[in-house]
Amino acid sequence: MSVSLDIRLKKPSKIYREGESVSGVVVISCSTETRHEGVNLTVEGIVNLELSSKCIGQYESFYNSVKPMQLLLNSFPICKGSGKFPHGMTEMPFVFNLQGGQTRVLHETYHGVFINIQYFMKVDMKRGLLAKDLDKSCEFIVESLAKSAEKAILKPIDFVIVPESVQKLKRKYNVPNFKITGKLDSLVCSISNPFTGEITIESCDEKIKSIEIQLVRVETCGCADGYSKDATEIQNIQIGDGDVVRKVPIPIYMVFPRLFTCPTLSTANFKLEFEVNISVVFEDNHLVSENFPIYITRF
Amino acid sequence: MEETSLAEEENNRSRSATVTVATKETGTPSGATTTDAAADKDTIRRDQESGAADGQLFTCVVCQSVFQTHRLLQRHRERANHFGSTNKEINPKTKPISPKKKILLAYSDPLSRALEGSDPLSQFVSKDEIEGPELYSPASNQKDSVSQEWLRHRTSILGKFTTSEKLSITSSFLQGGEKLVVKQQINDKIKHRLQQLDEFEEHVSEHKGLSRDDYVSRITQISHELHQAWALDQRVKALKIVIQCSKLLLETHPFAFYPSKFALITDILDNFGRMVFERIAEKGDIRLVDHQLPKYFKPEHVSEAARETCRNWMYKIASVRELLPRIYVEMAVLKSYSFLENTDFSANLIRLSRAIRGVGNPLVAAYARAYLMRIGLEQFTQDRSFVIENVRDLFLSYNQLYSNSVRTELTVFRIDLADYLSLFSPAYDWIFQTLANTGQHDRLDAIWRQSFNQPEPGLLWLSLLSQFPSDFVLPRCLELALHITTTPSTGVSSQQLMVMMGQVLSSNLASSSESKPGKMLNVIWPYLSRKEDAESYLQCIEAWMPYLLRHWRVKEVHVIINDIAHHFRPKAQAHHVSQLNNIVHALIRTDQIDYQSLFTTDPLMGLLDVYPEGQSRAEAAKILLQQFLIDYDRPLSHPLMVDHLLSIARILHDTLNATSVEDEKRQISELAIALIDRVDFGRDFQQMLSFYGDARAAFTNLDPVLAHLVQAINRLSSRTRQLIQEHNERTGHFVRACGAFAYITIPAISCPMIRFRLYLLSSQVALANECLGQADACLEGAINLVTEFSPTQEQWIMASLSNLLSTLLVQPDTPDQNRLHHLRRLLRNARTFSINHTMHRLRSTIYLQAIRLLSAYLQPDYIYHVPNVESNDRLYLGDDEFRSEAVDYCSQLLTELLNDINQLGNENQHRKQASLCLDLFSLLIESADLDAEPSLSQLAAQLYHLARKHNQWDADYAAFVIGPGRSRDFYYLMTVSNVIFSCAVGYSGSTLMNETEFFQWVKRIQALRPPPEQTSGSSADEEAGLDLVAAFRVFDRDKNGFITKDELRLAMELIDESMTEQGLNDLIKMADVDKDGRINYEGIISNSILA
Repeated sequence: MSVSLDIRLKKPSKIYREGESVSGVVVISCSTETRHEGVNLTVEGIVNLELSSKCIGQYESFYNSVKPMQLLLNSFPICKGSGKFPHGMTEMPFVFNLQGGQTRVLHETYHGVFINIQYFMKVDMKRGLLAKDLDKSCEFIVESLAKSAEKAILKPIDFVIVPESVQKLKRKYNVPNFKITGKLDSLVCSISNPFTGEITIESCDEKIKSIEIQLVRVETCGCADGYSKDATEIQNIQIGDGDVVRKVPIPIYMVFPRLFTCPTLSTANFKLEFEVNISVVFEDNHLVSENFPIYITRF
Repeated sequence: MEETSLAEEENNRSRSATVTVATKETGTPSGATTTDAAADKDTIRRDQESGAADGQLFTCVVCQSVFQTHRLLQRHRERANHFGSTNKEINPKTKPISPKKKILLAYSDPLSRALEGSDPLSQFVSKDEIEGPELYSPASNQKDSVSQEWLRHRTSILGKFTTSEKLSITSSFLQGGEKLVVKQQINDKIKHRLQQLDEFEEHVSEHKGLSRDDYVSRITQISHELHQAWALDQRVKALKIVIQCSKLLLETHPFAFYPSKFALITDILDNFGRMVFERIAEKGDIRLVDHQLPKYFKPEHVSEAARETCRNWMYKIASVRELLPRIYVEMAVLKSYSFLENTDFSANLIRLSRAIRGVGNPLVAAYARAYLMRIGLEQFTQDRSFVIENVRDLFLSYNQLYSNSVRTELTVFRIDLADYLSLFSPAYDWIFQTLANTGQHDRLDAIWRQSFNQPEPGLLWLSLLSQFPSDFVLPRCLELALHITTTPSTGVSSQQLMVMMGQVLSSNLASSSESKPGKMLNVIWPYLSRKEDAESYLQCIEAWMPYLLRHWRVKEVHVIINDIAHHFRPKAQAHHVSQLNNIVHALIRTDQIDYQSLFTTDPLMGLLDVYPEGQSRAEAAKILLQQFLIDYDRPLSHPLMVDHLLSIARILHDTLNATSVEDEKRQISELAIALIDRVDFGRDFQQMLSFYGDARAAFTNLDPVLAHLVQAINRLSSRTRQLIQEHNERTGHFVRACGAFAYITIPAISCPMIRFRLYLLSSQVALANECLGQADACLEGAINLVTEFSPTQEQWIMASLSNLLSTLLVQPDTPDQNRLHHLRRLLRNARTFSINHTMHRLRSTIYLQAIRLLSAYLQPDYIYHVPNVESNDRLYLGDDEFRSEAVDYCSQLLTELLNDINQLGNENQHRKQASLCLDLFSLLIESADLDAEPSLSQLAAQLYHLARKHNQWDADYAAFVIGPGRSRDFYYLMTVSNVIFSCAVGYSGSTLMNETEFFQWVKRIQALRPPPEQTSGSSADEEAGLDLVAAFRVFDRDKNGFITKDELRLAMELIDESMTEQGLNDLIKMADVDKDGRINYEGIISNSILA
């Protein structure tokens, strides 16, 4: 007497662009003949904003949670009226056009800490009085259109880190003598290409333990009482391990993770920005780090 | 999967290799050699036989043939080895392509199943498949060769790098061990809920204090775990396992184990890479051919789902935090990039190569590069630029090796720098080998040049020297050698480099002239000879020896040998021995070795002198001798050389003691004998004799050698006699000296049989050389040995004794002894065997033979003589005293024999008795004058009767005694018939022989007759009849064709068989066919024949 619902999208990657038609099938499998009162498919796009407790305090964060912004809401029946599904699997195809509202742009899917941009499709089956309604939801990914998206332009940058350029946090710490140079191929990056560059330890008195690049998201939510801005780590990639050889450029190479990154976005209510920290960890666990805000584009 | 199949293939390969070797061995060449050997043996034996007959040519059959087969075997083995090695080289090319793996589709759609066969796409794919393997073979071969090369490399790594230190492994996928994560006590409900979440929770446990084997088994366990996780569709867990494995590679301590660890872990990575690859292929409905993508594969064929999976893997791996695991895992799954796009692998490979720059630990980096090389080669990229890039990166980070951080690490773990550096060799070797395989000499040259700019490039050079193609390396060696010898180095010692260079040069001797040997030697020699430390000196010399020997002349070679000896004065250590042996090997294996100069000068002996006493020196001596004997095919005549060789062989001999193994003794004996045979001073017999004297002194403990020496000395005197037909005084003395030599040498041999034979031989030779005294002494010696014979070799003893007795015939009596001294002596010895003695038969044989000999003595002129030797016939000239003495002696012997027969009868040993009777019977008919002495023919008849009496005679033996060989003799046959008839007459009706028996006998005798060769027109039957007729004629006095009663009585009286009238009548009646009162014997015979 078990019934299960499933949504199978035609595209295995589940990535869609605005204006594209989304097609797939709703699969209903039941062990016996099942009655229903109609099956509906709902497509929904939501931006969830959350205020971090750090900025505005516990109390406010609890109460002042910002209302989720709806980017998209569409509902249409797949199976009108009541009827019966025979024993076995029933596949019901569906097609719809992915189109945002008049005013709203469909932002790219993004999974963050305080900001989430997610798109779902949800199929629900209404049943009679005695049985529970069934539903099943499925997330799909939205990427922005090639036409509308910004193109990345090469913006290389060279950097030099020497003890003098470092802001000392602790006076006591005796900063070793070092010189680190490097370059980033571009501060404006296409999300589908890796973040590249190179770093050279020209000289360093202290042994090096590790060289790492840290990808950081900066999420800003605006609200009535101001805004909260939080920087959290997305991923940390080690590019140098141990006391690396001096005067040899070590490549910086990082692939932007899917879902957790999206093109840099700035709207009235919230802002999504990204930064890269390049840090050199010395043997005694002190680290020298250089921060580079980057601009991510889709293409 | 691939691993096991590879292992199987390897097995197959080795099996097929052995099979081919085996067939080669059993093939024509060996067959030919064995038959040759057999033929050789035959001719030798024939020689020997003929030699023994006339006492002129003697060779030790056994020893020589054994030695010959030994050498044949050795050559054979070499040939077999040769085949074996070429097989190994050929085989990888002919290696069959392993059967392709059939991919089982986990999910099969009924619709698509219905479509099967008519689907154009699948037809397309299958077409690919058909064409695929053939077209693909070069590429796949290349891959195979890479993986096989790697397997070889891997095995050597695993064998070489082990450690006795305790290892530790940190993993969350191993059972047991101490758990590092301490779980908090939570209440049950939450705990249960957490457990579900915790499915992948990492209980990182550290296993400490593992031995090497434990460690390996843990790694296997992890690999097992990986397979299991994969099978259960827990891909994340699988990935985690792999990441953890690669993390293990970060830990370099204990250093000595690192290369092995690398090999083990890369196995897991390979597995993982393959699993990912095959899974994606499966997902994408790509049928793999032999684990490879089909030839016409394009990424467009891959379904979107599969590509998505692939992309997911890549994203997942790219976000691995740690550098090294990320690099390793990416390398492992690199192959799967081919699903995504028309990948230019080289771009990815170059990127990875760059990324390895970030690895600080040079050891870890080196191995990561090695792995990259391997992975890169396994893709079919034509573009090999990544190889160059990789090497360039390697060079960039090369000085890291000598950085402070490495130094401090080494001091922390108290590791020697040299030991540490040696760990790099497998990785570097692999990298440079790969580079060398790209075959671009200009690139190689660039790399070569660059290596000179590196600080402390020793380590690089080691790998460059060993891995770059020899035609590239050889011309550059000189420059390198100059560099090495002039600049000091810390890490890799110059000595290590020199050893490597020496090995490279020595293994490419054929083309080694490219290395400008003249200049090279000038550079090398001062370097080598300056080395003080015996150990390192030895290593260098060992490596360089073949090269030096090839390019230097005799004089310099002597200098080398002297120098080597000088370095080890007074004595070399025991652990140097094997290397010294290698040097000796090299010394003697050179192509243009000048044995004469080598063995006539002192250096070699000096070299042998520095060997520690005992076994090891003997080993070297053995090598020298064996090789010499194989190579040097001319006769040895240089006295000094002989002298040296003898002393070398003596070294061998001196190591023997009571505990030596029999086999070793035999080997040394073979060598010594071969050496003795090789020595030939031509006509300088005196020198030969003195050499034999020396040899005897040298090999006192080796019986075979002594025996051989006796043979040789006999040969020597025989040759002397051949050359000088009549001995003059000088040669007379010489051959006497030879005889004396033989006489005093023989007693040292332990086996009485060999001694006996040698005595006999020597006496014969001495006799032939008119040395009566020596012959006498030797005979004496031989006769004294009779009592020492063991009963097991009866046949041989009989034959030898006959030989002895025939020699006794020509040996004249000596005046100072009584007549027939030797014979008496022999018989006295024989008398010790009583009838119950195991050797009793021997005694009776001796007696019988002695009787024959005595009868020969009695002849007025002996049937054979030795030239210039006065035998007894001349000596006594029919002296009556001698004759009567001989006759007396003869009858004495006969009496004793009859006594024996009697005694045997008394003791109921009928079988023995029968055979003795037969022997004596045959003797009597053979040599006794039965006509003249009726008593003897009567005796013969009695003997025959006795032999038959207990029905225990050996029919075959009887047939032999009255055998075909003898029945040819008419006289003989007649006598037999005579005697038999007398038997018939004497005992018919009583016991022995009735009529039918008699006729049976007649038939039997006819049957025994040889094929009628002597027939002259008449038929065989007639002939037989005539023979019998002749026998009957003895009875027929008046020759009228009938035997009357009177004649019969006379005949009976003749054989001393008194018969009653009645008996005679009966007999006549029995034989009388036509009832006329007399025996018509012609009638009987014709009847009997026709019957």
